[in-house]
Amino acid sequence: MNSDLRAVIGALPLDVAVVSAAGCAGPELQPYTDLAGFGALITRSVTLEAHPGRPMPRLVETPAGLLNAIGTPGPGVAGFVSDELPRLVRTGARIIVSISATTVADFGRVAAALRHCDGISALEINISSPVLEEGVLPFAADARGAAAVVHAVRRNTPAAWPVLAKLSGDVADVPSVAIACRDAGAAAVSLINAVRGVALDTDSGVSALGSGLGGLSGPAIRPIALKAVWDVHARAPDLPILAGGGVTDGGSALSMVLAGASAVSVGSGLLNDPRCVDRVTGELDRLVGERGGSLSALIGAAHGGSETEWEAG
Amino acid sequence: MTAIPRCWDAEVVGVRDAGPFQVLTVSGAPGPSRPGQFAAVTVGGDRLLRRQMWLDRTVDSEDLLEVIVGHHAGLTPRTRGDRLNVIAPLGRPFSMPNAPLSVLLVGSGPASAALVPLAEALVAAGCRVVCLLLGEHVYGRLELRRAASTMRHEPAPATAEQIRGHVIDSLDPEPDLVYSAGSAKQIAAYVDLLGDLPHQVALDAGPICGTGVCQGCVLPVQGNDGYARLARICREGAVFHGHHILWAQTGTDFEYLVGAGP
Ligand SMILES: Cc1cc2nc3c(=O)[nH]c(=O)nc-3n(C[C@H](O)[C@H](O)[C@H](O)COP(=O)(O)O)c2cc1C
Ligand code: FES
Repeated sequence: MNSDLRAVIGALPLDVAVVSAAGCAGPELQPYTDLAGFGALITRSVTLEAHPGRPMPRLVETPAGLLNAIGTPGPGVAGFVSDELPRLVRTGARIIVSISATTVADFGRVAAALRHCDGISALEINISSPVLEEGVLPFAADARGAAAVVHAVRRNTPAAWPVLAKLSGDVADVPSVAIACRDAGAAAVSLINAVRGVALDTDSGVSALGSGLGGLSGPAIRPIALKAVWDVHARAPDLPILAGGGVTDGGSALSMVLAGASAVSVGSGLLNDPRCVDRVTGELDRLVGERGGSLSALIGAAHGGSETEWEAG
Repeated sequence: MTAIPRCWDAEVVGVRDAGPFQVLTVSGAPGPSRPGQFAAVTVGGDRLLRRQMWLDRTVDSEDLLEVIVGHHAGLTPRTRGDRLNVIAPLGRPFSMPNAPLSVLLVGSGPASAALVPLAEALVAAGCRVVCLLLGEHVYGRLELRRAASTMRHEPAPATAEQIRGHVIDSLDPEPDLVYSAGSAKQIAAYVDLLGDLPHQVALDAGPICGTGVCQGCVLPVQGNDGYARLARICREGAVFHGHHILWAQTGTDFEYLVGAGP
């Protein structure tokens, strides 16, 4: 590597500022890539009880993106601790566990069930799942709800584990939610989750996804993610941001950093190419090398210059 | 023996047209493959997911791989020199009979491409092969006609009742075993007619990641331990024993699986 791509998210040091996004990497990728070379691997969201996930069809391809309604299939936190976590730890990757629940109390319970586990570097709380029951909004839609979840998780989590709050990009005021999470004890925010969307099957006239609603990801949402990162960094420059949403190459990773991200995550890019994290890392290395060689020196560098100031409108 | 899957940037070194399909020869085969195995291939442009393309055969001597590409796959026709990213060989192959039996093949839609190398291998093993192809976008009318002893083809999109009629006709005389290829929905329309006949299926997975990481291609199966669980077509398939699939539940909510087993 030519550049210094190290990053710190809250108190979490990463050797490389490129991680895999929740639900998009696991031991299945090992034949194709070295998971231990990722900055970190974020797990699929772990829930209190076992879930089979959503009905089929679960994936629809859209221009420059995909809609998914996978749900959070998995064995529940007990099965995660006994089976999946040891397998993940054996890959040598730094593990960030994503957790998800439908009530504040259950978020606390999932965190409590993990607190004595070895091999976990941080928790990411998924309060922004785009696929919820009809009419239900994610906790990240509202600053108070988001903060309540962060409190509950923080109370049940070892002090050494940073807690990242994963937020939605499609809410009215992302910075207010981010600041509320920080004030409630989140060490960093993860911006953004997939954006709510639907696709219709024109033959049958019903949703092309088994669960109706889906989450849009991939390059199609990159500008939405970049705007969220920009806005949060402008209002809370000291709050570390893990930026994701359409990061598939070095250029998209660098733009997130210039807008204020400390590190980036790659999700759908790994569904396209299991070597995507390696490619993003390699390209980012070259681009940062051309700009002085230090990634951390570039965080938020696009802010402040008159030519790059974006009017919020 | 089949090779361990690999992911590589391949060059198209040969193109053969076959009706609505193309057979591409690409560079860099990772090793031997068997009928029923497939590749997960990128489409290019702004399309993120991969397409399941059935492996025709490995051109052993030259380190080349033949994949069958349907225009359904969202691929514009390819020409020599094009580059694709390929993950292969994937999936469980079909199990082959160990005696020269009489075999019925039923193909619907693009997945019928999986039957072409299978038919060749069955004929080479001395089997009597009857083939029923359903639907207009069927690959390999020509290729399969060469291999199959009897070939029936229903080119027009058929109703469920018509499909059942064709399958009933093809089951007389009754074969020793049946291989199907198609989407789970297409096969579910006639699977009950096969009764207890040994039955293997190669399933169309739609757009896929191909690594098994996303859980986007699942269907409910009955494990050998008797418990129902979800299997990924791109990882645990795409070939399954027909009697292991819970056909009636492929399109339903999976909540009934909670607590169903280990
Ligand atoms: C197949 C798939 C599964 C996902 N699973 C989760 C999950 O379990 N928890 C979560 O917080 N986000 C999940 N996501 C969202 C991603 O982590 C990421 O936030 C989103 O896809 C945007 O990034 P991208 O454009 O790089 O994909 C999932 C996305 C996909 C495509
Ligand atoms: S399509 Fe991703 S697991 Fe099969």
